[in-house]
Amino acid sequence: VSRIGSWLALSFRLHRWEVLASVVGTAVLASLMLWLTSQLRFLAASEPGCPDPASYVAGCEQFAQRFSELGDWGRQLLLVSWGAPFGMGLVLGVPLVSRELEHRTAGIAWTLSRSRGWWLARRVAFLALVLIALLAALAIVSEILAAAVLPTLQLDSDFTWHGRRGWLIVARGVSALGIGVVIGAVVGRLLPAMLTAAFASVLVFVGLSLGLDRWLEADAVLVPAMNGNAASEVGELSLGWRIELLNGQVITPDELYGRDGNVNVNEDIDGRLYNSPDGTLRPENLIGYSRELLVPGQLYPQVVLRESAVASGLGLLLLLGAAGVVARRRPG
Amino acid sequence: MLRALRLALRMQRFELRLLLGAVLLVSVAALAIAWQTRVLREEHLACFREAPPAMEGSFGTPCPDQDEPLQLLERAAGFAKAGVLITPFVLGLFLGVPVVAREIEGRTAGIAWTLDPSRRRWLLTRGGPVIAVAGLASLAAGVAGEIVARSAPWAEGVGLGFTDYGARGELVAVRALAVAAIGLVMGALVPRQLPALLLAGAASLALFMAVTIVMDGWMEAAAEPIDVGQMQEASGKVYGSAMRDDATGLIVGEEEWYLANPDPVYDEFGMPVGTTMVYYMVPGWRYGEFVLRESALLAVVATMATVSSAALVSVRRP
Repeated sequence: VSRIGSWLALSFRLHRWEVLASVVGTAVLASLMLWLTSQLRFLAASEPGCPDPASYVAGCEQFAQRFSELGDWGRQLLLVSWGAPFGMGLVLGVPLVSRELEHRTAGIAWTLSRSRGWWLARRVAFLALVLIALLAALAIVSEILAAAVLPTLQLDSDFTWHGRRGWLIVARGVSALGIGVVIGAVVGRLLPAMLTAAFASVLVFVGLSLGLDRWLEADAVLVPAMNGNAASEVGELSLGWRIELLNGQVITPDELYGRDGNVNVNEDIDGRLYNSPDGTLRPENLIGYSRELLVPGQLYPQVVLRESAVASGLGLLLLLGAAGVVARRRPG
Repeated sequence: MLRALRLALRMQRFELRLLLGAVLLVSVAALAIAWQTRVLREEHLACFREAPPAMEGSFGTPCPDQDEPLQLLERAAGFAKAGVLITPFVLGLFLGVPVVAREIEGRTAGIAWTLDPSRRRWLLTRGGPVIAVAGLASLAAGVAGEIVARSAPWAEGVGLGFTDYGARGELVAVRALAVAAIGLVMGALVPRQLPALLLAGAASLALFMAVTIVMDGWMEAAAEPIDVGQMQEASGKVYGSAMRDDATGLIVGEEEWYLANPDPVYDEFGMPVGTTMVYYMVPGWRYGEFVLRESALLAVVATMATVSSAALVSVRRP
C-alpha cells in the first residue's frame, strides 16, 4: 500500500498543474451540465401536460420556448465535452516526457529507475488513470444531459450527438494521450511539442474520422428519399444522398450531374429521376431513383464500440511507440 | 539592438518556425483558393452565357465542370478562413507565454536579468520582437483572409459587410497583439509554461467573451431596419424583424401588423401585398467602425497587460 501511495504522491507532485487543471475543468463542465439537467427536468416536471418540447402543442408554446433556450445551452456544453478528450489528453500527455527532457532531469530519472520502459509505464499509468476517471465522469454526465435535452428519444439506439456523449469520449482521450506522449518524447520541449501534438491530433482524428466513415458505409442501407427529402427517421446516421441507377449501380448526385447529358434531371414526388430536356416526366426518360444512405440507429452501440476500440487501440500503439522513443533517445 | 533582436528570435526559434510555417501555409492556401475561385468564376460566367436556358424545376446544371470545383473551393475557403480566425490565438499564446515563463522555469531568469541594465529593458528587447512577429504574421494572415473572403462568387458587386468577422483584415493582428500581451503577463505571473499557457488561454477566452458581449450590445444599439433584399449588404446578426408599409414607410412589429390586418392578401413570395419585411441589423458599411471599436477595446487590454508584465518582472523573484 505504501508503495502505491508513494507512487501516487510522486506522480501527482510531478504533474500537479496539469492534473489540477484537468480536475477543475472537468468539475466545472460536469457541474454546469448537471445544473442544466436539473433545470430541464424541473421545467419538464412543472408542465406535465406538455410531454414533447420539440413538437407543437397548443398551450405549450412558452414551455417549448424556455425548454429550447435551455436546450441550446445544453448543445453548447456537449460541444465542449466533444473537445474535452483532445484537450485533456494533450495537456496530460505532452509534458510527461518533454518536461523531463527540457529540464534535463530525464537522465537522473531514467538512471534511478529499473528501466526506461518501467519509468514511462509508471508515469503513463497514473496519468491514464486520471484521464480515464475524469473522462468517464464526463461521458456519464454528458449522456444524462443529452437525455434531458432530448427526452423523447431513445439515445442508446440513436446517433444524435455522436461523439459528444458516451464512452467514445474516454477512448478519444486515450488516443490523444498517446499522441501527446509520443510527440513530447520526440520533440523534447514542452511548448513546441504541445503545438506539434495539436497539429498532429487534427490530422490523426480527421484521417480516423474519414476512414471510419468509409467503414460505416458497409453497414449502411439505402432507403428511398422523396423529392430530395430524407426519408430517414430520428436516430439514424445519414451518410448522404445517393442515386440508384436502373442497372442497380449506386452513384453520388455529383457523379450523376457530372455526366454528359444529365443537365435537365427532374424528380417526381416518389423520388423517381428523369432526364427530360423538355421537363416532362415520361417513363422512357427514367434514369434512376433518389436514395439516402443511412446507418440504422440500432447499430449505434456497435458503432460506438468499434470506434472506441479503434481510438483506444491507436492510443495504446502510440504509447508503445513512445516507449520505443524513450528507450532509444538521449536524455538531454 | 540587432543582437538582442536576434537573440530574442533565437530563443523561440522552434515555435517561430512551426507557427510561421503554419501561417504561411494558411495564407498561401487562402491566396491560391482566391485566385482559383476567380479563374473558375470567369469560366463559369462564360459557360452560363453560352448555355441554353435550363428547364424549370431541374436539379441539373449546364456547367458541371465549374460548379463542382467552385463548391470544393468554397469549402476550402471556409477552412482557410477558420485557420485565419484561430491564428491570433495560437500565435499570441504560444509566442507570448514563454518569453518570461521559460526563463523562470529554466532558472535562467536570474542570470538574464543580472546581465541586462534593467529588467524592463530586458522584457522590451526579449518580448518586443516576438510580439511584433506575432502581430505581423497575423496581419499577413488577415490580408489573405480578406482576399479569400472577397473572392466568393456571391460577394461580386456587393460589400462583405460583417461576413467572416474576425477572420479577415487588420483585426486579426490586433487580436494577436492582445492575446500575446495576455500570454506575457500570465507567463510573468505563473512561473511554469504549461500552467501559464492554460491560464492565458482561459483569460483570453474570458476576454473575448466579454468583448463579444460588449460588441453585441453596441451593435444592437446601432441596428436599423434593412430590407430583406439587401441582406447581403448588411450580413451580420439579426436583432429583430418588422413590417414596413410601402405606401407610408411606417414600420410596425410583425405581431402588431398581423393583429391589425387579420386577413392579408399575399404576393407570390408569401409577403402581404404592400408591405416589405425589414430586419434590424447593422448596415455593412459600418463594419470598419466596429472593427475600430473592438481594436480600441483590445488595445486598452493589451496596454494594461504589458504594463502589468513589466511591473511583475520588476518585482518578482527570478
